[in-house]
Amino acid sequence: MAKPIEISKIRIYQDQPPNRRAYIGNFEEPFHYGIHGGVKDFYKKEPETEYPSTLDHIVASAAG
Amino acid sequence: MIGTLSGALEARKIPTYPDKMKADAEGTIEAPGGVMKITHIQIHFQLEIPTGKRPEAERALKVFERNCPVAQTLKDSVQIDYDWEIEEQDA
Repeated sequence: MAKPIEISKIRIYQDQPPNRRAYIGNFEEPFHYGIHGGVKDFYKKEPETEYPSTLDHIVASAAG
Repeated sequence: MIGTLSGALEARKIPTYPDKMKADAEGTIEAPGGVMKITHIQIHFQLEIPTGKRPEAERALKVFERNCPVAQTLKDSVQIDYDWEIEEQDA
């Protein structure tokens, strides 16, 4: 088996639901995941703080 | 996936906040055809739950993936595996 080019290492913490916080590699600043817009409506939740959803991040990654 | 798992646990009266739930993930990036892609994601969940709630927690861990938007989005292109460790603590 070939050696991987990279192993992406990430630690994720559950903050006050539905919000989460992800630390990527050695970068100090986390990414925040949560809900807003249609995703918020789907789950019928009203978070104290709105953040982009993980689905938004997939789209951003695809476009980025 | 931790967000969906959190929801599944909360629905079973298992609190997931504060400092009760985290995960370490490793994504393997390879270039099998000369182009980089993510081939595998391995996730290790670490849960702190009330004593006696292990059966409910393990049930949630075994079924939550079917309700996870990201897992369902990626399932046909990236192999995702996960395991877990559970620590029971008196409330």
